[in-house]
Amino acid sequence: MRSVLKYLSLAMIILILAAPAVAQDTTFRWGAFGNPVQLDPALVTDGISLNVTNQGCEALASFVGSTTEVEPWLAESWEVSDDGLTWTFKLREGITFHDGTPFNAEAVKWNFDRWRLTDHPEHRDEEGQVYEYYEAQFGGFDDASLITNVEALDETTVVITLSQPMGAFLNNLAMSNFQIASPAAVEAAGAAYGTPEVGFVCTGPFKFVEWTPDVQVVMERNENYWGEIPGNVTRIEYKAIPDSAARFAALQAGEIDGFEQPNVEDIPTIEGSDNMHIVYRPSFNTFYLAFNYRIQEFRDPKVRQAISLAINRQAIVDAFYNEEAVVANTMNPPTIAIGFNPDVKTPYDPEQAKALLAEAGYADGLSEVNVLGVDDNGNITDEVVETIPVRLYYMPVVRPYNPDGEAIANAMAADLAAVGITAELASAGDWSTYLSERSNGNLLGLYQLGWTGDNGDPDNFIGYFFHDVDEPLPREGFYQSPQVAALLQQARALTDPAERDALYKEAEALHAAESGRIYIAHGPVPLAFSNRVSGWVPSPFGKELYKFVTLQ
Amino acid sequence: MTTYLIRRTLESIPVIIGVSILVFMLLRLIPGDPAIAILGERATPENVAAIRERLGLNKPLPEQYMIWVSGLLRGDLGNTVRGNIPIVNELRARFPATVELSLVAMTLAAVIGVPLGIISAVRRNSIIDTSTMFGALLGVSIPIFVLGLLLIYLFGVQLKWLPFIGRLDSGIKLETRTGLFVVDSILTGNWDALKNALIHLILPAMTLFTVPLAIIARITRSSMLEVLNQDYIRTARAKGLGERPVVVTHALRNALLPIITIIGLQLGTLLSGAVLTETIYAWPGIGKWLYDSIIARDYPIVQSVTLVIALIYVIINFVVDILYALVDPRIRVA
Amino acid sequence: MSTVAHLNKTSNKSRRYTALDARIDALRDVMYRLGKNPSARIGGFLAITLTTIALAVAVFDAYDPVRDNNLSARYQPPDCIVGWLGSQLSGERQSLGEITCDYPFGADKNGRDIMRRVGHGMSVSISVGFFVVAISLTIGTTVGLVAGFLGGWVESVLMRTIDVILAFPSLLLAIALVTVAGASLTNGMIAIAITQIPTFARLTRSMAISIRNTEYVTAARSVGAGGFTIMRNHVLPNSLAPLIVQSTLMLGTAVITTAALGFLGLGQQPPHPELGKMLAESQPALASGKWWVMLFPGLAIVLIVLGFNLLGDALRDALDPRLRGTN
Repeated sequence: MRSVLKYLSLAMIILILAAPAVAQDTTFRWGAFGNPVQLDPALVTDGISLNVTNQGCEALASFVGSTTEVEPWLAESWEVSDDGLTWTFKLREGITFHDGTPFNAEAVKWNFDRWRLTDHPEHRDEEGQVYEYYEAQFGGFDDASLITNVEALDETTVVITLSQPMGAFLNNLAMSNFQIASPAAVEAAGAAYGTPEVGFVCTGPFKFVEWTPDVQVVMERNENYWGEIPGNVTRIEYKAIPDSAARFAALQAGEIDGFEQPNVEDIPTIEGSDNMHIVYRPSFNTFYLAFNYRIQEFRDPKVRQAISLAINRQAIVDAFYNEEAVVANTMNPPTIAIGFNPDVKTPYDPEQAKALLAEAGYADGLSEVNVLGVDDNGNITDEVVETIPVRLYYMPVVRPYNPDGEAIANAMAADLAAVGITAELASAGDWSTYLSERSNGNLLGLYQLGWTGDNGDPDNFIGYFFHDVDEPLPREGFYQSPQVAALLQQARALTDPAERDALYKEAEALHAAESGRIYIAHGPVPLAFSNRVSGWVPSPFGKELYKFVTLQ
Repeated sequence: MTTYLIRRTLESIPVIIGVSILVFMLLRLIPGDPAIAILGERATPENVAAIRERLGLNKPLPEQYMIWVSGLLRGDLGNTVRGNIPIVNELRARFPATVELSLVAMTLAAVIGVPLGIISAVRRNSIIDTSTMFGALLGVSIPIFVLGLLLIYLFGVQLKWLPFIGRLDSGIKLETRTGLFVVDSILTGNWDALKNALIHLILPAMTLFTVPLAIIARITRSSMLEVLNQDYIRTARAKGLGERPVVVTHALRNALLPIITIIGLQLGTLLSGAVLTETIYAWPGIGKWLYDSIIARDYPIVQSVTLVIALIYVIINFVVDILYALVDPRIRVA
Repeated sequence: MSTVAHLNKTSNKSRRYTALDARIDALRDVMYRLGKNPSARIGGFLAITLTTIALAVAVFDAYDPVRDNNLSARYQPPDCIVGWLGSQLSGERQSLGEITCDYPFGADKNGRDIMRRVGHGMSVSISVGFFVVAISLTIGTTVGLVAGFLGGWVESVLMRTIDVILAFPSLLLAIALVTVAGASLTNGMIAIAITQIPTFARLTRSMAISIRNTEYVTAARSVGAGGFTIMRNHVLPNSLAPLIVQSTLMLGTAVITTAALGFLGLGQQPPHPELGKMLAESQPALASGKWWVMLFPGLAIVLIVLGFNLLGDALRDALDPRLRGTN
């Protein structure tokens, strides 16, 4: 009897507590760095635009939760021919676009043709529509496209033909840029598709409502959504708040429910607060220090290894990164689905570094280095063209993988000084100059840079950098390693994940054995939330879906 | 007067042309490729070429200049590199923020500075005079960014009394008509927004107004001192006029000219001080826009904002000169 | 009053009163009036002390910002100075000798010694200040003299160019010039010097014009003195007083503008310390209460500028009583 009473009263309390939830606010407000550029995902490269379209648009494949693994999405299954050239996709049935037109094989074919064929009426490249990611991932347009044919066999079957096998094909298809739009809507809007007047028309859980430039993009729940919506968000206000301190203030004031990348200095405040918290996005980036191989001294593996041993990566990560960051030993980060090699270790050992430098003939230290010439074929000659100080180039901008290029460079230079290498900090102008100097191999010394993966595949990670280093590559500081290149080329043309995994691991081991480059850190991106937000599923590449969010 | 006006206008023309050439050349000479800045880590030669084409960076310089100037005359400042948005629209959206901050700072500086200067002149060598003059000297000696950071630390971080970011809390809705938030909130009867806009103005305005305040107080004082030594003031005093009417009706009226001049000129200088103030307080005006665009290497914006500020500066100087001539006939013949 | 008495005393001497005597007297007179002026004393004290410190730091402290890096001391607060100040206030006065600290002014994000960096930042600010004044003084007076003396189209071209420079608020022009030339201390210095040329050019030009038509210049011309001689012997000495005043005041302006460029990331490049840059770096840390990263460099700039401004004001009063209290 007593226990019944107890349960009854408990039930009453729960009911009373739960009652206000009926009238609760289910609008999710996000504070973004700035405005979207365009809401047609095929045409954009910036994270803000894609963040918006991700809420309402879907592709044939998708990434599983907070991983880089690929699962079927608008396609419910697929098969690949033995030669890896013919992919047959079986589409889900009964899906409609937000405008009510049906999603089917014709619509898929129409989208692929729009992206890849310059004479497609909606391709509109002459009007400045640039399909940058299609070009990057699929080799180019028309005859240059690796996708040579797309066929709608019947209402729910699409066959895509490739000109050569592509290990990362499914990862590519899962990228936000290849989300399927309503052909009818694109045809009706023409070049205005994706602009504030039209927004996007896709298949996803949220529909475009309005976009007030500089203020916000509003979306609301698609009541006819074909799939499940685990959370309770009914409306999204995606606000542009360019200043980081203003975003933080807005979260504190309860005007937004979350934002990306608070300042490192503000994180303790948020963690110590009763109504805010931090969620880390698994790091899918790598910060590195590269050698320019035109420097004669850096061609000696002992010198490279000594520099690697001299740098105290852990101290740098502890001082400048957030608590979830980890030291990097390889190019591929631990969060990658395949191709991470946990056996590669790059320790900190200044004594060993000094010994190696002595062995290499620099017992008295190293402060000046020789620059070698480059011949007409792009090969490095034996001729010393110039003698310069040891330079350490630092990045002029903040990136998730590099919170403070200058301060880190300063710490690195101090570590190098401790083993007898006198490096001077060097800036190569602004970000654009820095990047172009790097592309041309003109950063003559050690230089910082990093990478954030686009699609979770190692071909877009270590493969992106080194698959063609069979020749000295100016873009990669004239690094040359035919063995590494051969492994990466082999891996990109395979489709079996296990085989590919082994090849990428081998490439990483080889690359590390020659101390080809110094990897420093993987920096997770912190996200700040109000405590009314739960259910957030972080994504390595920032492809987070608000359909999972539950608001209290 | 007409001849002076015409002469002064004619004199301004070569200056304006010189300014436009200088601004145009400055930004063509910048090293580094803006196209690569946009594309970041993923810059490829083809993408770079496409962006260069869009920005017209491949044409010869004189042609680029003519295209630019004819655009200017049509009110077209070109498009931003990032986002490809017309600069005029963006400028129109951001300019009121700078105007509002500058006007508030200048009004405060004048309202406080002029009386302080008068009192200092009348009570010469008193404690008020000495401390005002020392304060004025301190005011011109503290850089805007030092003062701004100090105020942020004291009133924003430690005491948490005042906001130090932006113009409005992002939860406050305000229908914009003029873009001056104080005016807009009064026009729409939105008192929450008015209060919010005002408290956001306090720290930036206090930061921006110190230099003009100091200068106005000093000029007012010296101008008053000069007038107070004139014969007619002595006559007025000798007639037995009270100190108050002497100072207010006789002295102040005659001392006003240099005070008005300096207020006008300071308004122009404020616009460049706004670069620092707006950067510190994340105030979304043209000063912060200029800074952000330098960092982002968005040439066309840097070019336009520099030009606009310089033109405003030229115009203010021009107007001040004309006003001066209207009041003081001697200048017209000089 | 004192001036007159002073002059009379000298002229009573039996030997001939030469131009040199006049100059020495004028100098003595100026020094006398400066000595009586409290703001001159404070300003002179600040300017001389800070310049001496800056010079001493630059000469005697070989600073390698790269080796001054200690990540374990990141953002260490200036506890010992705070403690010492507290002891002074509470009455149990510690003497400065009793306290020992690794980081008297605290440490920055790399665990670098803020006190040392402020010292080196000051020497950068002050030396840039002097360079700026030297450059703009040389070019400005030359332009002003040439324009004022030659007149005609030369004057028109020169003065229109000066007008174009003046059409920009000086900070804005400096920012624009450095954006083009590339951010560095040298470029910043040159850019600031360019923005300050008009002040000197206009000043000397008006002097040159007013003197050009005076009788003694006509006389000098008639005895065959060339333009250069006339400028050196007549125009420059007459412009000296306002030029000295302007130069001193400009030192303050130059220090502020250098720091402003540094603050915007357009001046001295890391890791070398510069006060404005240090302030910019302090802003993110300020939100989490790390005041020392901002306070000490800020204080250093204010004291330097205040020193030069006080001195400049006092000099103006001393050199030209007519200008006393204006502007």
